Amino acid sequence: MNLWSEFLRGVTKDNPVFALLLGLCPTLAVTTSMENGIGMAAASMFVLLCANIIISSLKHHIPPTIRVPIFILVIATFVSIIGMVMEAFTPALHTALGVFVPLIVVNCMIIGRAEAYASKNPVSFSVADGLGIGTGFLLVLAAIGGIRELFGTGEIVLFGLTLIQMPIEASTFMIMPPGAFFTIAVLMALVNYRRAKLLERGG
Amino acid sequence: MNDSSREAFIIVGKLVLLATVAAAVLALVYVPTQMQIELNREQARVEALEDVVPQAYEFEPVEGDPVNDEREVLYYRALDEDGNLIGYAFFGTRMGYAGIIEVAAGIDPELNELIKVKIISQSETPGLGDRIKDDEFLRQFEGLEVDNLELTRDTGEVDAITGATVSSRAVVEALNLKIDEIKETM
Repeated sequence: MNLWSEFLRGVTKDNPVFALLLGLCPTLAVTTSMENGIGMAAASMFVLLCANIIISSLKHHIPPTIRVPIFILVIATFVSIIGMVMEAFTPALHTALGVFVPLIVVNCMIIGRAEAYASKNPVSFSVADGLGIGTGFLLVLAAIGGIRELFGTGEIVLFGLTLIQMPIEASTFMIMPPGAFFTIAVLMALVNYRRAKLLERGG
Repeated sequence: MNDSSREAFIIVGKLVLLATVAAAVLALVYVPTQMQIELNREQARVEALEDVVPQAYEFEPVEGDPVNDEREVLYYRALDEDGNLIGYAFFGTRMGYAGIIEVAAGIDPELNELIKVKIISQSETPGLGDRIKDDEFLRQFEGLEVDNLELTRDTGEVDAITGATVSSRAVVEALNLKIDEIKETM
């Protein structure tokens, strides 16, 4: 077990969306554009990383009976911080993400890592885990947001820069809620197909 | 002290300690971010003024009588590049269905005809009342005579949003209240 493999594990084998199926609520709700997806994932990653560090360093002082309230307290503090910082410095993104910023508190991905990983492992590994899981979340949200934005509006605009433009008839369907389910279903089917192939080869 | 009460004491103590630290950290973050948020709001209000009287070059605030040494801005005089009055802009508030609705509006210099109306903040029911911020609803106010600024069912010319009469009426009332207030001060 080394730090790099712990990091990679969060992106691939333990990818929060495709392997653990955690954090699906924000994954579906805020991925109307690539920018929103990245913003949401970055906020979640900040909370996840900070919560992992604090919980991992306090793990010998947390009484088992009240570990969940303590996890929630730590997570809620960091969510409030990132919420206030986003409202102050990225107001447009904050408005776009709306209620899903405070709802990071109840994202199972974060409390799941606190319970399953950070409370049992050293700080350095918890940092690697937090960064890995966070990066996995970021890649998936950026991908889903990008696909929905591309087919829903015909272009991908990231932080004021137009990345891709496609001469297609944009279908609003893709940026509406059904588009989220459709996109995640197709992506998950592809991921599972690939995983099944690897298993067949005895991988 | 026996073992179980000692343990309970430790648990409570740890939670209190952690909560205190959390509160202190939040307080430290709150002060600078809140200042920036206040600046953002001010910025948004300036942009809203420019939105509701698009031809205006500058806005001159008109203040009311001082209350406790603080002057409240009642409305803004919208001036063109030569300093001629081309209308007024104002903010109005009214209790809606779920919370306070804040609107911004521009009106001609004679206070007869609305130029444009915009919703600044609202917390109405998503999908129903929050449609007051849709163009479809707000477009009705462009060029609307103040005499007809009532819901259609109340002898006016504003069509309420289906299923959201309270929210629609709150917007109309917010505008009427402020227009009456401006008339009184002139």
